[in-house]
Amino acid sequence: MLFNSFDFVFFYFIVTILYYVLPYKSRWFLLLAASCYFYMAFVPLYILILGFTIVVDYFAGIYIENAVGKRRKILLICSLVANIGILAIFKYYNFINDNISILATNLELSNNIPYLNILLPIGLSFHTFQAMSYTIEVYRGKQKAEKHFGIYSLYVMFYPQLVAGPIERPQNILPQLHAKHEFNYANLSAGLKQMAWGFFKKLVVADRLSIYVDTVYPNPELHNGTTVVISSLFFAIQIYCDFSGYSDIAIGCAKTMGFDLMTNFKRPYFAKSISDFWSRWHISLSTWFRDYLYIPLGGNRVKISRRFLNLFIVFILSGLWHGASYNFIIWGVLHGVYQIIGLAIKPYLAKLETHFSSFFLQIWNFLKGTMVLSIVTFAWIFFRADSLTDAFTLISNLKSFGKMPFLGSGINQFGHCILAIILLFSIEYVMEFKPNFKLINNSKPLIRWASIMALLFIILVFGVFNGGQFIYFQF
Amino acid sequence: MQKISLKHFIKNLLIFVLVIFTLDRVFGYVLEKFYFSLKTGQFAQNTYALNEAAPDILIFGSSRALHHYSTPILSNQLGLSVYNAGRDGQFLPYYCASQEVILERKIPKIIILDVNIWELGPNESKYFKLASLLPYVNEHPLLRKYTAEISTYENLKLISKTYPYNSTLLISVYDYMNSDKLPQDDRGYYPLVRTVSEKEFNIYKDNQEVYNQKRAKQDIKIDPKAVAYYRQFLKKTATLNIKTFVIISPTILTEPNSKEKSLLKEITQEYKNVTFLDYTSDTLYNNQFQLFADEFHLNNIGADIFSKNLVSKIKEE
Repeated sequence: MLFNSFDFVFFYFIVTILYYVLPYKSRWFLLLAASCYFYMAFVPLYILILGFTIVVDYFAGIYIENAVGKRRKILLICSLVANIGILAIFKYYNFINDNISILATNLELSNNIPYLNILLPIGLSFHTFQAMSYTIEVYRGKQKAEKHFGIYSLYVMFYPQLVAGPIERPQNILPQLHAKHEFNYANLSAGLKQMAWGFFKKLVVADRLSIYVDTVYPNPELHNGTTVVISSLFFAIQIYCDFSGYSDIAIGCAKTMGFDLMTNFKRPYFAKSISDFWSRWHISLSTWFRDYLYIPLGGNRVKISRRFLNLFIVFILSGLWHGASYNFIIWGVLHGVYQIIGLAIKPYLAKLETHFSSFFLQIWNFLKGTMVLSIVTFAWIFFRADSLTDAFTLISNLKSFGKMPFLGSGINQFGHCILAIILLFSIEYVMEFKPNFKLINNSKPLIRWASIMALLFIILVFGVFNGGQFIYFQF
Repeated sequence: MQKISLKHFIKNLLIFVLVIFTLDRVFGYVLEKFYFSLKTGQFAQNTYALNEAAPDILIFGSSRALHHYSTPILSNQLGLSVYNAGRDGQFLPYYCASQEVILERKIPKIIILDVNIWELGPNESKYFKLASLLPYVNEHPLLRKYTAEISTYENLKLISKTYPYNSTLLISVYDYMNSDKLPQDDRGYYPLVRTVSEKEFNIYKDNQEVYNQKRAKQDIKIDPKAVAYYRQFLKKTATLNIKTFVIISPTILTEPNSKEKSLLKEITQEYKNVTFLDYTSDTLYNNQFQLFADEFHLNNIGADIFSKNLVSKIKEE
């Protein structure tokens, strides 16, 4: 079930009303049943896979807590193998098999390993990572094993964040699933406003830009460099609004029932360095990799060369997390390289900046922001292109930059894209640099109501209502 | 505390619903007046086609119909009134909808349906584009069955008076401000007055080669719904005994034969009133880049030549 569908609107209102109407003790059951229904709206059978990881990790958590010595580690490894095994089968099996075939062909051998003709369960990487964080935290002794099977299932399946995050940690969610949430107007209001903002990002910006991007990217050979630059910038904004819009709707939706989910995005295109970008982009995933991979690898407390290697490993795996293709690997490699360069030049830049006047510093920061946006957008080419060949065709077309760009299905469509971008960045600029200037949260009711109405009518007048899929569902 | 909060919420919810309802009516009314006041441009053409057009020759199709069929030439040389109902980026579902509405008013002598070679291929956007019919649903309720194709709840969304004008404001303002620059011809034709350069043509050639190679490797799929719409369109003309021409108008480069193209032709053979004309391999136009405005469309010179040749064909028939 897509957030941007009428089915979800009905579903959301029914579940939220029932949540407050039902007695506290049966709410977990309502949420779990609703989450199952939500998930089964995609491919019903795949709930069995989810069920398998839930059962494995539920018992693993309890056994790990009760075990001592090496047994704890063995149990953790068993749980991780089960989770990663599911991921490997559904997400990476055919990719690995493809590579074996290529290798075998080069060695003049034949590969008889059969291909799996299966669809990737929706949001598999998200809920698998969330489930893994639970067993790791129990192993580390930072989280008590959850004894209530229903509550644990809900931890993995809580419908707002089930298919595209934020990837939560047990310390944040499990206590909230046990707590009694009373009806609270402030929560409801804040949640609905955040949902409206998410719908703005998705319907007005992401789905509008996708019309242009989806025309250019599948036919890279037909487009000149100017079009490639525009469509890549559009995609950079599209994927941000698509994914952060989803997160806003998820966080807002949970908030209306009294749950606080973690922040997942903080206006990443206002970042002034690549590390700043990653502290603002998909925060729940980047902190997951930090906590469960980067720090165990040694984190910042190792030699600089080892630190570079660790960063590189993290970003390659982050690329692979998104999908089993070389496009995602190259995307990860590029970000790894960006991080390493950023880290290497950081002290020199800091030293240089001490000589700048405040005015020049502002220009410098703007230039740094533009540089971050440019290199991030360049990496998105690999992320969006249908194949490596397409990505390289797009890049080679950049040499014809300066020619008249393709305008999509007319000036109307292109004009809507530009309008959507202007609206987005105007609002985000205010949020970033004038945090005290409130619109939908203004203390004066007239301004607050006028802003809310303006937001809703902008969605109604300029939004795209074709039920566009969320990009991150495929991961 | 919880009761106060709930009371506060219910009060605000009622005010919210009332304000939204009122504003929706007000905005909807303003947008409707603005939309239907336009005298030139795409929306004005839509309004004329669906609410007024009653010619002897009706042309349906996408932008290639809009820019390829010169209504002054067809009208003058055939001595019949002509209206070009071609619309940018539209596909068969839209042609069927506009055909049904216009034919309720008047049965033309001749119908020309310009089809793209990819007309029968799967492309979800062809259904979303039916949204351009939403402003006309009140006046022509038969359009509801077409707008229902956009999404399951489309007719429920029409409770809103603003929603039918979704995504129309920008172009309405543009058309209003440029009303003196847009074509004034009320017969629908929109000539393109630019010419492809040789350099551009060479790029198209290179691109086309890569594109054709890519397509050759793909498993070409047919959209059964598009086929059903195609048959519906032709069946309607057969029932009303209207002489019909299904045309794939000229292309700058030769289009290789494809599954879609063959099917387009094959289906027309089921109807005796239909003549199928394929200009995609016509050397009069292929490679003659001076006759084209871009990769997909003839310019005004090309359209004039094509329209004159078409007149001869129609006279022959």
